[in-house]
Amino acid sequence: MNENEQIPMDEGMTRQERRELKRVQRTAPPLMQRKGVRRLLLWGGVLVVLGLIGWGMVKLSANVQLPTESGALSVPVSAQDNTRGPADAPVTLVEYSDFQCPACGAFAPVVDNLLKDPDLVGKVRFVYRYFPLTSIHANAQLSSQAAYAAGLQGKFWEMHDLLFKNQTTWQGKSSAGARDTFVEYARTIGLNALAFTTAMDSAAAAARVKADFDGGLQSGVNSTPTFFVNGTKMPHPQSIAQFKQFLTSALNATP
Amino acid sequence: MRLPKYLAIAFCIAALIGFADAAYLTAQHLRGVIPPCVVLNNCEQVLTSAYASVGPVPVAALGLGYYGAVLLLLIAFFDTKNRKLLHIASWLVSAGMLASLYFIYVQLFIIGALCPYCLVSAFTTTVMFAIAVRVMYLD
Repeated sequence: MNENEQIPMDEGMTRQERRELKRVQRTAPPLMQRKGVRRLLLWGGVLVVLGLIGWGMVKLSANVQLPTESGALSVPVSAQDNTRGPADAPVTLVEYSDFQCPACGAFAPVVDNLLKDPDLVGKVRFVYRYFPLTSIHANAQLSSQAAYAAGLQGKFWEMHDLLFKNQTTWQGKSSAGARDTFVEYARTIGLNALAFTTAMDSAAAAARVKADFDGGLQSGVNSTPTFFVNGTKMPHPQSIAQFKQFLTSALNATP
Repeated sequence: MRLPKYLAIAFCIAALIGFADAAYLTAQHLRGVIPPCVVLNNCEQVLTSAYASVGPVPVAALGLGYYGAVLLLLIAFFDTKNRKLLHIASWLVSAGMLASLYFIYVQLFIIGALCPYCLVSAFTTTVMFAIAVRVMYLD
C-alpha cells in the first residue's frame, strides 16, 4: 500500500511542528482504518465462503436420492425362489442383492435382526434374488453361482450368511482364489464339495442367476440392495428404524 | 510478490474445490446412510472400506481439515505477504500429495475400485502440488 508515502516536509517547519507531523503520520487513522476494513472483509469473506460451501455440501449430501421411485415387482415369488420364513406370512420382503456389494453386506445382519424382531417374527417371508453387478464387482457372478450351488444341496442360507460375513476376505481375490474360498465354505457347511463345484460351474447356475437379474431389470432395479415389500418397491431405508417401519406398515395394511 | 497472480488464483480454486469435495464426503459419512451399490459409481466400495477411516476419524474429515488449513494459510499469506506462510502451505500440500498417491494406490491395487470423489481430490492436490513446487523453486 502507501506506507512509504511521506508528506513532503516543509523546510520551514519548526522542530516541534515536524515532530507533531510525524506523530500524526504514525497514527494515520484513515490509512489504518482502511487496512483494517480490507482485512475484515478478506477474512470475513473467506469464512462466509467456507461456511456456505460446508452448508451446501451438507444439504447436497442429504439430497442424494437414493432410488425412491416406486415400482412393482414384475416377477412374483415362486417355488424357485430362495425364501426364509413362513410361506403364508402376511409380509413378503424381496431383496435384489449382490454378495460382493458392501451395502448388501451391511444390510444382511439388519434384515436378519428384523426377521427376529418381536413385532415381526413369523410375519415376514424373506426372498433373496441374485442381482450381481458384474461390471463393478469381479466376484459377484461366481459368488451368486456358489450360493445357487449350495441351494441345490439345501444350504442356500448357510452359504448366503457365510458369503456376507466374509465379504471382505474374498472380494479382492482373483476368480481362482475366490473359487477356492467358496469351495472351502461349502466344506465348512458340510456340502459335498465335488457336487458343489460342478453345480457352481454349471450353465444352469449361470442361467438361474441371469433369470433373477433380468427379472430385476424388468422391475426397475438399478442398484443393490433393492427391496420390495409385498410387491412394491421400498425406498432405500435411511435407518434401521425406518426399515422396520416400512415392514410394520405393510403388516398393518394387510387385512 | 513473485507468485504470479494466475497461479495464486489457481491455488485457491483448487483448494476450494478440494474443500467442497471433502465437505461433501464428510457429510455423507456422518449421516451414516449405507449408500447402495450403483453401477458406474464405485464409491461405496471405497468409502465403506477399512481404508476410509484412520481409527475413528474418516479420511474425508482429514481431507476437510487439510484443505481448510491450506486455504487459511493462503489467505493469511495474501493478507500479510509473509512468504513463510506460503512455504508451510507448500509443505502441507506435499504431504497431501503423498497421501493422495497412497490412496490411489490403495484404490487401484488393494480395493480394486476407483471412487470419483477421491479422484477429484487427488486432482486438486496435484494442481496445488505443481504450484507448490513452483513456489519453492522460485525461492
